Amino acid sequence: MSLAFPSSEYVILKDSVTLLQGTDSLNVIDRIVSTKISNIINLGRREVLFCDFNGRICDIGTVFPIFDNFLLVSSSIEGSTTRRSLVDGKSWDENCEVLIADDAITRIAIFPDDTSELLSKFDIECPNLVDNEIFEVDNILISHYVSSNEYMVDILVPPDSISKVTSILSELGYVEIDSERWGFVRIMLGLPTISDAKGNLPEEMGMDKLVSNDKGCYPGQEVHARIESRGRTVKSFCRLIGKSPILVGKYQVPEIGSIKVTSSTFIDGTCHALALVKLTNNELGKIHINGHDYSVETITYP
Amino acid sequence: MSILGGEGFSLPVVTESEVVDVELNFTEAALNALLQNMNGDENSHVLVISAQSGGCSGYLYDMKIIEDPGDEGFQRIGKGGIDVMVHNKDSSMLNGINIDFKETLMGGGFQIENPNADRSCGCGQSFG
Repeated sequence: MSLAFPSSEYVILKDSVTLLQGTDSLNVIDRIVSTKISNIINLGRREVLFCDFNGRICDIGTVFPIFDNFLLVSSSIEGSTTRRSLVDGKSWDENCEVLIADDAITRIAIFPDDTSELLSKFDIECPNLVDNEIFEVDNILISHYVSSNEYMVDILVPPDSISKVTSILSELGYVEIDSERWGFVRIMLGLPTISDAKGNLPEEMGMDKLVSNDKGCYPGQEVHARIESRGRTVKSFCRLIGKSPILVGKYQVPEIGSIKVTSSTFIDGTCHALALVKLTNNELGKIHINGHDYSVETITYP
Repeated sequence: MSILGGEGFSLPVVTESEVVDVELNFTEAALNALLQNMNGDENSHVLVISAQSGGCSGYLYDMKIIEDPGDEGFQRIGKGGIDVMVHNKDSSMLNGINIDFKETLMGGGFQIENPNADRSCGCGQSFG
């Protein structure tokens, strides 16, 4: 398997998809996410975090406003819990209907080689691409955004049109990423899943950008405000690279105490892992786990 | 056809919430303030107390004086000549709340103490 950064590749993701319909849908979502979305534009996209009252991450999602409707793409593991909190949190007089769209819409994440060429295949001619803008072409939604300094394209598509999209991608020479390579790509790009992030603070995960300190109250806001004013967190989300495999779990590390490995792959003699590390010194470049050396790089969510 | 016009969207998620008979406790000051806010409309208008997601602790209180919405889905509680209504979906969260009114230059207004809450935020407007 290639250890190169992804290019001309795509992955079909099993995310949870929720449709919110009605004039109060934006308020219903905005009240419970840590990210300000009240100013989101129609046919745009925004990454959001759902946190508990302790400020710890419960779910990660992306909101797509489509005229009077909102699509929420979130983790498959926490999707039903997130959906339930949207329903429970509606006021008696709010106009918002929450629908399950897991079987209606699938997300395809694409690592393009040439974004303009890719989009032109879907009849989108855009010399000046705007990040986070979405295009509706027939029954598919296409969005272009930057993630981990890589340009990515997301396509939201009904199940009966997946083959149409993958055929176009194949014509352009794109290949589907299998689960082993996706695990590697995700770690290399520092893209956390809910399994990495759940129960941690956004600031620890390098996801500060998804916390809007100017939006007022939301679950976890008091904790986030305190962290922002004190300006520090104890742990940081890091990428570990070494020559020995490491399993997901907690480890004691002589230099720094305990660390929590949340994702790990071992390919062609190299281990790539994601971990929450107590960084006493941000320039700590190497740690030893069970007698093996691993390099440490702090990850910041794009 | 739009992506939202296809098949596979499931029926709305239905959450069964426990419905209890609601008791509300108002202080004298709260009832007086409420009467003042009603402005003589007690016969046609009601106070609706509800809960919705949000706030630092997970849920926010909301109080509205509105035209009587009718009894469907609501519980009606008479207090000092005023009808106070609580929606059945909020009944378990709001049962037993104590409503007070404080007149101060800062942080005044209606204040709710909720025996069902495990926590509340500093400003007192949210609970969980």
